[in-house]
Amino acid sequence: MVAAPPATEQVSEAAPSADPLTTYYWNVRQMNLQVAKDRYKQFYRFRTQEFIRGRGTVAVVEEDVCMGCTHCFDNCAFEAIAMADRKFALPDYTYTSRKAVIIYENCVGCEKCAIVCPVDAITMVPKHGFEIRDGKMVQVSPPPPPPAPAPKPATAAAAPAPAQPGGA
Amino acid sequence: MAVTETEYGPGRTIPHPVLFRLLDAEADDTTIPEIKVEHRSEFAYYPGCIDYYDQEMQFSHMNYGDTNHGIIFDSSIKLLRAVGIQPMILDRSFMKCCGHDQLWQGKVDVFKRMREYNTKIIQMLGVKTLITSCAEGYRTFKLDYHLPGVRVAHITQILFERGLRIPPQGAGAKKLRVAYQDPCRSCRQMPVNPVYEEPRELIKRVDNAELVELKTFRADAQCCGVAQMMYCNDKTKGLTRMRMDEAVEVGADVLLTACPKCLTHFGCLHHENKWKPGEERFAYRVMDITQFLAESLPGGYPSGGNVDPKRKAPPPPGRKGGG
Repeated sequence: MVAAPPATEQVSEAAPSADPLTTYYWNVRQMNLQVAKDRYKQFYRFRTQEFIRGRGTVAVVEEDVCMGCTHCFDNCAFEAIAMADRKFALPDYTYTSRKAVIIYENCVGCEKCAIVCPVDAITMVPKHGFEIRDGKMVQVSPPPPPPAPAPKPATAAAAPAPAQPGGA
Repeated sequence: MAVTETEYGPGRTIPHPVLFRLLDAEADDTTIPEIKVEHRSEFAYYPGCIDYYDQEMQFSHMNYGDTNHGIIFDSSIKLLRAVGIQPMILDRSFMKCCGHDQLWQGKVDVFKRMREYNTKIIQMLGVKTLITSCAEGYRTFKLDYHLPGVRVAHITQILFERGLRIPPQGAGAKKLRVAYQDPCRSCRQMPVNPVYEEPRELIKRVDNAELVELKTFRADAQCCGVAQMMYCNDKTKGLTRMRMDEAVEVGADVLLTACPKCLTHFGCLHHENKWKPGEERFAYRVMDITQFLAESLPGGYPSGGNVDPKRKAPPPPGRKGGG
């Protein structure tokens, strides 16, 4: 099966004439890589304009689509994403996969997770009390009162304090 | 499009939005590129989308030096030159994607545009033998394109018939158990010229490699889990995991494939199971067959891979606050 090298090709492996060819391959390689990088960069820029963002938005994860790559987890700057284990079972096979879970209190709506998601499992939606009207995010209801359970001990502790000088 | 509820959960349209949007936009692009090929030859090598996969894997997945698609290009060039072929490169500055993914996703009009464009360029350049290192490219050019007078060949076929000789690795070389995953596109889904024998013959020519067959092989081989990046979810990952477990069972040191997409999916799961050091499930390397053969040959690569050497370790989980 060993065929002789064809006559059409100049076979000169050891000759220094291999050098321009190596340069050619090297150049093509680098150029292609640059082409891919440039095109990708452009498309990621488009992607940043896809989602709403800002104070009134929050990220939501579609669990069926999430594939547990942890990319959003790594990119979240606000500790607003946790990974949960989910098991799914086929008749003769089980597999445990991780799913992203948004921690609502921490999410500031920066859309970073939605941008990096490779399977489009994360989208940005208006928070409770916000709506999109005429393409603008508006607040339709007053913000919820400051979280009740945390300040309560503080006020309970603070309330007796002024009461005592008042009583004395 | 409505999401249809199936037995195992909702069906899902195409993920990997950036890659496919990019390829579609490429098909729509009607600007006429400047074609300058410094080295003309009747042998043409089409690297396909490997650079795009690397970008996809690095930007939208976590790839920390494991999966290296760019090395497929360099290995192919090295191997082809070792058998006396100095191909011209049909590179992506003037070619488009072969259109495999678009065709199999049902975007036939996009595929036809790509086919028309690529056919024109291939015939204009006077290509006699079109060599691909990609199973999908092989199938698409062979069956879905009409290229009269052009022989489409997978790189392993060319290497086999030219008689690639791999020098002995020496006494110090480590014995390797090598498993080969048959890609669906170049094997089971090829009614003519399926590439079963050539990769196996080539692996046997590496003297420190022992070819072991997985539990399912050749025409019965199980899929790598994902068809051309259509899905990635729990189900596909379960399939990928089953396939990679087969390689664990036969005690493979290297898992080879001839398809960059299989490499992507295996590499992704390989990385995922390496998350905590010491708990590695898959203690073998996943490589493309060209890379494996090229590593057995003396000499270096012309340029090297795409993977940034700085991307070695994954970031500490969470909380790094930056890309």
